[in-house]
Amino acid sequence: MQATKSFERAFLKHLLRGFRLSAVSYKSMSLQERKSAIKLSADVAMASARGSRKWTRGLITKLSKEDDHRSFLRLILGTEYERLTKPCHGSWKIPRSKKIVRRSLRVCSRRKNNLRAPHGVKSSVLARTLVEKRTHALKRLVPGGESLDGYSLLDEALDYVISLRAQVDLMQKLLTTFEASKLSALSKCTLPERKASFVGEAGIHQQKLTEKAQLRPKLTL
Amino acid sequence: MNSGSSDRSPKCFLNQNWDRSVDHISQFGSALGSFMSPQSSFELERGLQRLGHLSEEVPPQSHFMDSSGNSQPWEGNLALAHLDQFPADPGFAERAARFSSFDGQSYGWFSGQFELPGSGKPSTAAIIHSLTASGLQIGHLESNRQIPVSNGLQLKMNCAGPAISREETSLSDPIPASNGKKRKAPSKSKEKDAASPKPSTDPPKVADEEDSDTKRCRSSGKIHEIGIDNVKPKLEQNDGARSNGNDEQKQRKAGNDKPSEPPKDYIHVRARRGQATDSHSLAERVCDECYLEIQMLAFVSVDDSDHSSTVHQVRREKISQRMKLLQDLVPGCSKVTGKAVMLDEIINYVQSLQRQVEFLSMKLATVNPQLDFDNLANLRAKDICGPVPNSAYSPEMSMVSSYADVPQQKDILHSIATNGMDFHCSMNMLDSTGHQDLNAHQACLGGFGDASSQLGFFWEDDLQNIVQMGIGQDQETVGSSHNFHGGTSPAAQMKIEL
Repeated sequence: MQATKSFERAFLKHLLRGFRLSAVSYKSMSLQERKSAIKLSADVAMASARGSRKWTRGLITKLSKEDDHRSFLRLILGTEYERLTKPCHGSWKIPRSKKIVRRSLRVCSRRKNNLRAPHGVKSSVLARTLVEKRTHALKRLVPGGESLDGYSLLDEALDYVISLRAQVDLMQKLLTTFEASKLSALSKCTLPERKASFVGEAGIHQQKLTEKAQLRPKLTL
Repeated sequence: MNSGSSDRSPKCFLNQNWDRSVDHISQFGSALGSFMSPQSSFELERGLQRLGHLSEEVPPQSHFMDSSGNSQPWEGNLALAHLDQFPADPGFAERAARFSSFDGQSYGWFSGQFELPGSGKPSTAAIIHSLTASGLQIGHLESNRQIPVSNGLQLKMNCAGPAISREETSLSDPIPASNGKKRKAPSKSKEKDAASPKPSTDPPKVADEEDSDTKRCRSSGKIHEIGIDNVKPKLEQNDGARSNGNDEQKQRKAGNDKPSEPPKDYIHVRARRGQATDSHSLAERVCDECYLEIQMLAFVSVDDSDHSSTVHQVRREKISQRMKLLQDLVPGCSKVTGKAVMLDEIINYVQSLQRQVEFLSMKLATVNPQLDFDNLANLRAKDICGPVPNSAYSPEMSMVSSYADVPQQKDILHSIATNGMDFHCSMNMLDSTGHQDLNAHQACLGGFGDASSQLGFFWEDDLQNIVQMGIGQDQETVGSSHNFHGGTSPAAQMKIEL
């Protein structure tokens, strides 16, 4: 299954827009802040490009929990923001304390196990618990998945996986483009400047660059 | 009315999930108990459970022969009730034999098994009636078809229990095949050894042997899965009630007589399985999950005429459809079936993708500060998302044009200077696929690129070319390898010229 081209295009468009919007303060940000800003842009772009799905809503809701993100989200999404954050009927999450729920589940399972005379571990219960555990884990992973039942959870997970894959691909391509453009920008400089800039940069490929640059004199005629 | 209510319950419990089956069974048993002797109600219940679970071997005919007058054979009769429904059905044996190859078509078999009672909607009274009427007939029938029928049944059950764990098979291995029962290996790949031997047509064997058989059968089966566990106390009660000197068959059917072995084996198996699940052994999980899955699927595929089952069926189909799609999506999941394992793989994949996103955003964060956002703005979405297929060069052109003042790179490509080419090309050849290598390639290209400004531009264009080719295709490695070839062929020519 592939993400559609239109999705990728919309994704990239939003992503670049997000970069530009958040790049205002790039110079002053630390690496971590930059990284989180980029990640935020990427996630928002993915969600907005995908449109309206349970996981996109969940994602945007989760992202907008922090106030500073909210303005950013509004900028990016515009009118869609309000639409996407409006809770839809199906995914109305009943507010409940996780601790209480967990405790009650434990009590229930214990009661169930006690009712049936002690027979050791039952494979059925085991199997069911396994599936339940994994379902819970998946629910936690997929944004907005807490309130979904088995089938819709799988559905959303499928969609989410496709979008995540597209996101990863796109970011990789973006990365190579950036690095290529950086190198090309560097190649426009004269040699000494380039050497200086080499020293300044981190990364293996820069080291290789310096090596090549040193080797170069031998090879040029 | 009792028969009415009990009429519904067999269908109900056949159609419900496992964890509710017990309740229905108990309901049914209690309902029937009102018009049957308490003792036989127990047996009836057990028989029904057996019927429901299909986890029992077909009780041997000798059972009928022995105690026709007894109320004891109830359970046996009931267990055979559904068989009774295929009155001397010659097709049954063939069907059973046919379905003996479990390849995911067990559903049909199960539905076939259940449909007769379901479709006929026999009241329990009717079942009992027909049983008494044709009890011996059934015995006859059974004796004729013992092997194929029970084979089919047994196989079904064996197949229904998926990859029975090695521990279990090791337990079941000692089961005397010496009874003269053939044990067909289940055809499914996941199947381990068939756990339980088929019931024998032979007259009651030595009690021990029978008992040990059943014990092994019990312990080795995942067959005695959900609900048998619940049945056990009743069974054991009953066995205690009845004298052990009675029919071995009865004891056998009673199932879990408590010699020391089977409980031990049972616990042994369970403990092992528990351990295995703790350590997340894949085989164990496959076992459990496939078993559960198959059980549920078998249950659900019952009786199309019932609305709830169709709903379940549809839902089940949807879920399995989604699972299949996810299987295609998640790499390395083609061989895996079973819900828990699949879910596990999906979870791992999602986690890895999310981590990848984090990592890439970190990388972008390192790259970004040096970026000139004007250039960024120049990057059109089309450039990065992939070129129009027919024109491989157009994105290159557009990309290059965004970097301005570049002479026609095609000419430059052909007018390659020798300096650095050999080294560069050898570097190309050394560089294998991979993202980092692409960067290195670009790096060395860039490094070599400034022999002359023209060459520099060439390398830049070549770089763009490479980058574009890399970006334009889904796999950068493919793109880079293309460029290797494209780059090396003129280089090779150059070498030859030299």
